[in-house]
Formats: sequence, C-alpha cells, structure tokens
Amino acid sequence: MKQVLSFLFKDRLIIILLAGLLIFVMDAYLNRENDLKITIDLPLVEKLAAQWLAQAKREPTPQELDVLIENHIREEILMRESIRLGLDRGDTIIRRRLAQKMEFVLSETDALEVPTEAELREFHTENSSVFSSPMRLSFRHVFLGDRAADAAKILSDLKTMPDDDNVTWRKYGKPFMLQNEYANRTREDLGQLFGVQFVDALAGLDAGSDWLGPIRSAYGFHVLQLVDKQDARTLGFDESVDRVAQYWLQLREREAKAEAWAVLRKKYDVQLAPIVE
Amino acid sequence: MNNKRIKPLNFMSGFVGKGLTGLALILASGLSAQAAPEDRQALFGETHVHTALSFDAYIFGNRNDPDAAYRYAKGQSIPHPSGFDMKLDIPLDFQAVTDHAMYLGMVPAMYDESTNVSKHPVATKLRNATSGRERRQAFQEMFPYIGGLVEDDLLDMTVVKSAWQTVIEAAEAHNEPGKFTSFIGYEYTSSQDQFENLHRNVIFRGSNVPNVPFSRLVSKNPEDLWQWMDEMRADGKDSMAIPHNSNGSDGFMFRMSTFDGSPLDKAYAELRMRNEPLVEMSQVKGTSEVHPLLSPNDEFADFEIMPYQIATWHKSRPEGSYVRNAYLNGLKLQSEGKGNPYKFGMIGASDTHVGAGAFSEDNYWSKIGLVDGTPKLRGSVPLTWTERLGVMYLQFRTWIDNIGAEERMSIGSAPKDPAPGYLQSYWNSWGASGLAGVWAEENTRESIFSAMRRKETFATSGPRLRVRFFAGYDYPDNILERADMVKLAYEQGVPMGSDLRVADTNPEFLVWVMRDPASAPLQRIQIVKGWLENGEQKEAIFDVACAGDVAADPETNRCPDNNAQVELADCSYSADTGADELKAVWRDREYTAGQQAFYYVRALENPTCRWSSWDALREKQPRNPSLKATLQERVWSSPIWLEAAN
Repeated sequence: MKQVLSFLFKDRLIIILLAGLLIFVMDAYLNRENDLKITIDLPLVEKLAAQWLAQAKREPTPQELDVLIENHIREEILMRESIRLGLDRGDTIIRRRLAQKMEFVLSETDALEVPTEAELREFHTENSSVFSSPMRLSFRHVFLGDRAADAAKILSDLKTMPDDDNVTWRKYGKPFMLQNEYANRTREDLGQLFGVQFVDALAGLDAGSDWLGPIRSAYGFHVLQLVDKQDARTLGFDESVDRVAQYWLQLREREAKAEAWAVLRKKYDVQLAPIVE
Repeated sequence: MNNKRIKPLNFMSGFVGKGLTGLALILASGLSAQAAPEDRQALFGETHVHTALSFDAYIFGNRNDPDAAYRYAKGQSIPHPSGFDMKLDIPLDFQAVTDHAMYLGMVPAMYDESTNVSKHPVATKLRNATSGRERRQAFQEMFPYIGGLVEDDLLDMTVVKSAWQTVIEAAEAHNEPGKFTSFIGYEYTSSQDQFENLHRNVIFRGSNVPNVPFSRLVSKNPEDLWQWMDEMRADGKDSMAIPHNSNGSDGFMFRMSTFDGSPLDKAYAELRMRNEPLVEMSQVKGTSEVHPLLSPNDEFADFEIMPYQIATWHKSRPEGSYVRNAYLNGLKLQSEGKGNPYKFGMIGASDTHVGAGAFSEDNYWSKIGLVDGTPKLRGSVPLTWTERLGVMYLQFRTWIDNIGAEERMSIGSAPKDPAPGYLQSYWNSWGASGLAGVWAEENTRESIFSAMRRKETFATSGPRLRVRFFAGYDYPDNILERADMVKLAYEQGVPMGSDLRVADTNPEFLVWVMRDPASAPLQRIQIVKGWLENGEQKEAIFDVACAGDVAADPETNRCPDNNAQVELADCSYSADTGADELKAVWRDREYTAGQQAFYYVRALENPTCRWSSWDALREKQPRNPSLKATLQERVWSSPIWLEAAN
C-alpha cells in the first residue's frame, strides 16, 4: 500500500491531477456558499436611490430606502430560485430578450477603428456612385391649356422681356392650378406633378435658355424657361465627408456583424431530425 | 494631415444653403408670413390611420406602429400582414395617425406576457387562440369590456398612457414643416346602443395635447367630448373632431335631436360647429354624400354605397346618415331659429387598419389586414369548391357558437348571398377611398389646421383631383382666361367652406377642376344645390362644365353622354374623350332674393375599373357579378352657403 502511495506521489502527473480535483471540489463548495449570499453595497444602494429619484423626483426617505433594498433582495432571491428550478428555460420572452441582447453585442462597434482621412478618401473614390446628388431643375412656365397655337405670339413677347423682370411673364397664358414656378426640384418630384415626358423634355434643355415651347404636360401645353439646372453629379470628398464617414461606419458595422455571426454559426452543428412515423 | 482622425457623426459641414438660385430665394420669401390667399396650394393627405396600437388592428395581424405609418405616408414601403409590401406612388403631404382611444395599446400588452394585463382570462384566451375562429371568439369576449357593458378589470390606464406617448412621439418625430406635416390625433369610437356609429377622429393643432385621450369609456355622448375639447382649447390645446361613416350610423350621426333625445337648439349648434367643422365623407367603408333613396333624381347618387351599420349586417337608415341630407336639415333648423349644427366642410380619408391607406383601385388591399388582404377574402375572385365547403363549415360553427349569445351584441345575419361562388362579407361593399385636399399657404400644422378650420377643403374618392370653388360678384367676363383669375376670385368673393353675404343680386359661382394625370380624364363638373322654398327642402343638380367643349342641355341640366368606355378585358379606358381641366362661371337662374341655400361641387372622371375588376383581371378569374365593375371617381368641394345680408 505504502509502495503504491509512494509510487503515486512520485508521479507528478498524479499529484497535479489530485490537486486539481481538490480545487474543483472546493470551488464548487465555495460557489454554493456564494450562491446563497447577497451583498448590498454602496453602489447598489446609490443605484436604487437614483432610480427612485428619477421616478419620484425626490430623494427617498430612510424608510423608503429600506423598502427599496428589501424589494431588491426579494427580486434577487426569487430570480435565483427560479433559475435553480429551471424556470428560465423554455420561456419565449426570456429567449427572445437574450437573443436580442446578443444581436446588440454582435453589432457592437467599439472595437472598430476610427478611419484616417486617407482611408476615407480612398473609400470615397471607390464608392463614388453612392455619394451623388440628383439632377435638380428650376423653371417657370406659362400655361396654354389646349391652345398650342398661342405659343408663338406669347414667346415673341416674352423674349423681349428684360432678364430681371419677374412680373410681366405672369400676366400671360391661362390660370394654372399648380404653381407657375418651381425651384430645385428633382426629376422624380416634377414627374409626379407634370408627367414623365414633360420632365424628360425639360431636363434635355440648357439652363438659362430663353423662353421656348410649346411643350406638352399631363395638363396641356406650356411655354417655359429653364432657369437653372444642376446636373446629377458625384459629390467631392469635402462636401460629402459626413456621408462618407457615416457610410464607412455603416459598412464596417455590417461586415463586423456578419463576420461575428459566421463564426458563431460555424460553432453549431445543425441537423435535421429524421421524421419518425 | 492625412493621419487626422475623422470621427463619424461629428460633422455636418452644412452645405444645405449652397446651390440655391435667386429664383428659389424669391420663392422662399414668397412663402413667408404674408402669403396671399391666391398662393394657396392643394395639399393631399389623410387624417384617419390605425396602427398596431388599435385593439382591432393588432388582432387582425397589423404590426405596423405609428412610426411605420408615417414612413408609409412619406413614400417608404411597409409590410401588409399578409406578407406583401405596401407603397404609395406619390407620398402624402400630411397625415394623422388616429388609433382607437379606448383600449389604446392594450392588445399588444395582452400578448406581451411580461405585463399584468396579460394575466387576465380574456388575454390568456386571446393569446392561446390558434385558429381564426378561436381568435374571433376571444375578440368577441373583449367587446363587452370595450363597450363599457361590464365591470372593467381589464383596462390598464398605464398601458394606454404609454401607447399615447408612442403616438405623440411618432407624430413629433415625423413633422417636417414645409415638407411633411403630421398631426397628433386619435379616434373617439362611440356608438349608440345598437352599434349606430358615432365615430369621430380628434386632431390636435400642435404639440400641446392632453396626457390621456377622451374615450368612449369616459362618455359615449359626443356632446361630452365637445365640452372636453372646449376645456382643452381654453387650456391651449386646440383640436377638432371629424366624424366618419355617418352612412353606418342608422340616422344617428346627423339626427334631429341630441344624444339623449332632446330637441336641438342654438347652443347645441354652436357647440357642435365650434368642434366639428369637417366631416370625413368618403372612406374605405363607403361614401356618405347621398343615398339613392334620399335623392332618387340624382343619377350619380349610387356611388360606393355601404348599406350596413358598422361591423354588422343591420341595414342603416339613410335619413340622417348622409351629408346632403344633413345640409338640408341644417337649413331647416336655422330657419327655425335653432342655429345650423350641420354647416360642415368635407374631406376624405382611408380608415386603414394596416397603417397604410389604399387609395388606388388598381392597388387595393381593403382595410383590416389578415381577413380582407386577398381578392378571395374580399369576394372579388371565386372560391374553389373545397374552400366553399370550408366556409360552410365555419358558418355552421359560428351559428352553433352564437346560440344563446346575448341579443344586444347581435350583429344580425347576412342577406341572401347574391353571388354564391364568392365569399360574402361586409367588405364586399368597401372601396379604395378617400383622400383629403386642403388649400393651404404652406405645408405646416398651422397652415393646414387653419385651412381645415375655415373649411377650405375637399374630398376625393382616391385620385388627386384638384377643385377650386368661389362665389362672388362682378367677376370680369374674361376671368376664366386671365392669369390672375384666382386672385380676382378671392378679392371679389369667398372660397369653398365660406358663407357669402348675399345682396339683392344673383351671385356668380366660379368652379375649376383639374384632373389627376395618373387617373382618367374629367367628364363633367356639377354644382349641387340645396335650398328651402316655403319651408320645404329642395335640391337640384346642374352640370356646369362638360368635357368636349359642349354645353349642358338647358332642359335637363345634364351634359350630353360623352361615350367614355371601359374595356373590362384589360381595364383600359377611352383616351379620346374627356378633359384635362374644366372650368366655368355659373349663375343660378332659379335663385330668388332671400333664399337660404348651399352649393357644392361634384366633378366626375370618365369611368374606370373598380378594385374588384382589377382583382379579377390580375388573377384571370371571372368577376363577382354582384359587385359593380366600374366607377366614376370624383371630387367634392366643401359647400358655400348663401346667407341673407342683414
């Protein structure tokens, strides 16, 4: 027996294993003790008081604080007991809440490094199509209704009008139920009001042109002047830096989340259970 | 330099102002405080949208919250409970989310097992329901509580208040002055004892609103609601109530007595008009302008008639349920010195329960969600024989379930099925309507609410038809051709929704309607007149402008038939007839001095396919023969009332 023991103690591996076992048992025992221990410390009390303050708009009295602490103890004990009984398992609300928390953890971006300007500039160049501004049109028009033939006479009058005269042209044509001038509207906006063909014709004109027409809309004929046209264009880095940075962040977040998810997904072996008749 | 770190979200270099042209600056300054009446533009929107916070909407599958409803109004797509996406072709200019005040947010709370209310037996039953039938039964068990018929241990006001906060926050977040206007609002869902509908939407002018809405659980008497609104207004919380579905009120919405049956008087008229300047006259559950039985000589009266009391098979009495009838009764009351409680303007709205109004016949999803989200469920496409057997089984089960049910909650029984191959339901008689138009200086709460207060509003059956309507004197002969027409019309007259003080001479009416480019061309403009003659109520309809540059027949006051056709095989319609715009100056030759009268505009498009025909066409199935195949979309202006100038 002694020999056996001395043999065992001679082998270090055995000693290490035994020591490990001892630590494991001790740990389980101590933890059991911890499981039945509830510590009320100052930060906790301060937290409870702060919650009270937020709701009641005043500090709790000492009695009220006692009740708050007692309530906290009650909730803590009930929570631990319910976990001991396994009541947290199979509860949809808890499952969902935990999954939701994990979603937040996955999209946590603290770890993301803030980009340098050089990185952002490169990103802007690579994604230039994203950072663009649509075509915007500004025009004024005289409505002719179905009388396209009136256009020639009105045009010849309007063409002699001084550029800074913003009054005379309004006296021509028929009343129009929508506006007679529009500023900085996108093609989509104007298409919804006047019809797509009208807007296509309008967009084909040169800005600052003279009065011209007649051009047909969904309502009838118009003579018009395209006052200003800003072509669709890619925004330079300086004027789109906010959007570039936001988009960069958005993409990185998405990538980080997808990566994290892929790692998680790989850990699990998902199997289809055979159908048992 | 290149290593400078740029922190996201820490920027906003502010290039908003860049690139504005001088023209834009002129326009912008034109839109400031001193905007003239002639600068008012027609804005389109609606004031009747239910989200998942409404008890019925949630049960029928809607999970779209107020935020989603506003995103939809702004042009984004949101999901229908049946799985498809809903999106507007053109965004709305304004919207109010109006969930049912009673039980606001309660049903979502009942489904959430962490709340107290979820432990109530009715909540448990609702949650555990697995079939449609069980869900309907659980739903019906809620009714006595919602109706205030039993001791209510179900209602949790903390839930209601928190849901109301959600409504407020969504409206506040989405309000973008100049671009999109959202109003804080809710529905006061009251009724008489037998489901006679007295529903109204309460819309608040601004951000200052009460911390809990006044619901039917406080009082079912709308007069109490108005008193409360008066008190709120005195406290800086201005609002208006907008009744809807008078068609389903069995004569109670515009009845000739008060809620408890007392005679009407001047004080009642003032209280009502102070709080209810508008009526939602057209919506998904039918149009309430006029009923063929009330106006047998109006050949266009049979339009989107929904004949039942709301959520039942009981027929609703037309007298007291339609606005033209109410306008006439208002004249009568006024002539008897009792004031006019029925001097309201008109708007349309959807009353959608999926957070997204369906305004187009060719893109229609009815209103409730899971129960009417497909053509078969709406009765526009025939059922297979197995589905018909299933329906018969369900009807049998319902019949068994209802044996011994309390009589007061009875919803009546369906009339004989006119088209047995199709599913019969209330929503067979519903439609893709309606929209509100307001003439406002700018797209802001203040501007739109003021327009609604002065009743410068119109209703459409869905399309974006625009109508101007004025009454006045001494309009120049060529006014219709003058570029300053609208300016003159305001200067020498009054717009829709107003009273015109009448001198001895006969006033002139100026009417102007423009088509919706995305819908059919116009067929005719009509002016509807109602008046008192020796105490007798009279009405007449005059066609004042006809498509094709022809005049109305002076004998019949009707435009000649313009032969506009719809090809039902593909829902195409005549392109060679109809007008892009119509306008006229009209004088009422039958007017006599001192006559009390109202006039409003009704303008009709050429006929187009109704939603039921579009459904059948898409699914390549025969149409339901009991449903109308076509309709003439239309716009109605608020009336102008002539008042003796004394």
